[in-house]
Amino acid sequence: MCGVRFASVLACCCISAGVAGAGAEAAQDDPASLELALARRPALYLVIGRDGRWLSVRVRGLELDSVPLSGVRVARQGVGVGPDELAELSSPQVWRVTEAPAENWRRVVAPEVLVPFTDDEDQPEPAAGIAPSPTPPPPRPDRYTVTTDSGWRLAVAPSVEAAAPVGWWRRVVRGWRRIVGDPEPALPPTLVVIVADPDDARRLVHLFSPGTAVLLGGDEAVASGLPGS
Amino acid sequence: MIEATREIDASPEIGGSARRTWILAAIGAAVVVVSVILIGFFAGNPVAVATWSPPEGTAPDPNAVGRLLQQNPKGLVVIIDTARGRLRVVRDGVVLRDAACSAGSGTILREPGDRVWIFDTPLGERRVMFKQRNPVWTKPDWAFVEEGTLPPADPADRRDDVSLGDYSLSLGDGYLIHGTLFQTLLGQPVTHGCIRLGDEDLEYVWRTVRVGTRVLLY
Repeated sequence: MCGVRFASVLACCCISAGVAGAGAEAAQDDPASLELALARRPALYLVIGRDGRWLSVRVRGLELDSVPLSGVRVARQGVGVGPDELAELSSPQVWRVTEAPAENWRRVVAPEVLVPFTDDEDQPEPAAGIAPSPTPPPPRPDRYTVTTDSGWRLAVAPSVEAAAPVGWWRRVVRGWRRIVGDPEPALPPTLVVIVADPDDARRLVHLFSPGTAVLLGGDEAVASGLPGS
Repeated sequence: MIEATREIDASPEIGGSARRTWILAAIGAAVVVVSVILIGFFAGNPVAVATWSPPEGTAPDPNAVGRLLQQNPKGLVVIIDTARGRLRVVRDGVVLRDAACSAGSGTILREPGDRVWIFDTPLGERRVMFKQRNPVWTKPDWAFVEEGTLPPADPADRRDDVSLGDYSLSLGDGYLIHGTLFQTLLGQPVTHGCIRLGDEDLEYVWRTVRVGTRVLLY
């Protein structure tokens, strides 16, 4: 009798756990559940709205910055690729940046030789208020592309043309290699985020570091830390 | 005399013919080059573009939305916009202070040898670990390498008790919110990763912010 009761309780527990598990799995498909998983960590994450009209910078569910977009496009390079093949990008989903944008916007300081340090007592202490005039860093880019763990690339640019998946000369080379029967492997498709203001792209470039999560098809933030909000 | 005259007369004709040949050859070469480029360009895999229009997704899970709200920082929080060079002290959504600050320059420093430093400000959520009055900076190796000198062996040579200003708040991993001697550069990304504030703003932040307060950097 005791054994039967134990088996019944065990069966109930298993069924309950199964139902709860199925519920959790189903709930993971909605943007809030995906964002909740990101918000449990202290890292920044980016959210692209499901209407493709904004990109939001968030941490812990709090919106820190928001950038208006002119739209989001899907670009794929390949013969015979039509719009039907491009519309396969499901949403919502989370990508992680695997390779940051090219870092040619960073200033590089590389002394060729180091001289021994001398403790010069006569050397004046730095004076307050007299600012050094550092070499201005190279301008931040208004267009860049990162690779993600989804197999897709993510481009940020003021237009689709500016975010060409392949450069002009490389397209020529690829074309000729294809003509002579030696095609290069197909390039990954690209999701192009078109910023309304190029300054916004410049301002965001440092956020696309390896490991940064990008939630595609997210909802409006539940709370905002923007000034005046 | 007559033969010499003929030679002189003939030379312009030969020169003109050679020039025409060269011009034709140049045009031919240009046509070939342009054709190669155009054929290659158009044969290069063409780009297809479509508007991203995801289908209507699943309705938000109300439980997830509720738990998302619970993740939001409550009470006092410091928000730092590293690109614009602004620091805001916010309590429950109300901005108490909005100050100019300087964040990491993003500069890459390469030592002759192997070591490389990147002067970025860490992003995401941090907490104030501890606070100090009259902080003393123990200059790390990069501070000397940047100046073109070898790091000194004597620890006393690393001591700097003026550069950090009157107060500092530690964000962990050696990153601080501190003062600066160069207040005219506030708002510009010129630091080695720390956050610099002007004297009055620094004193306000030091007095207002408690140890454990969340600092959100983006």
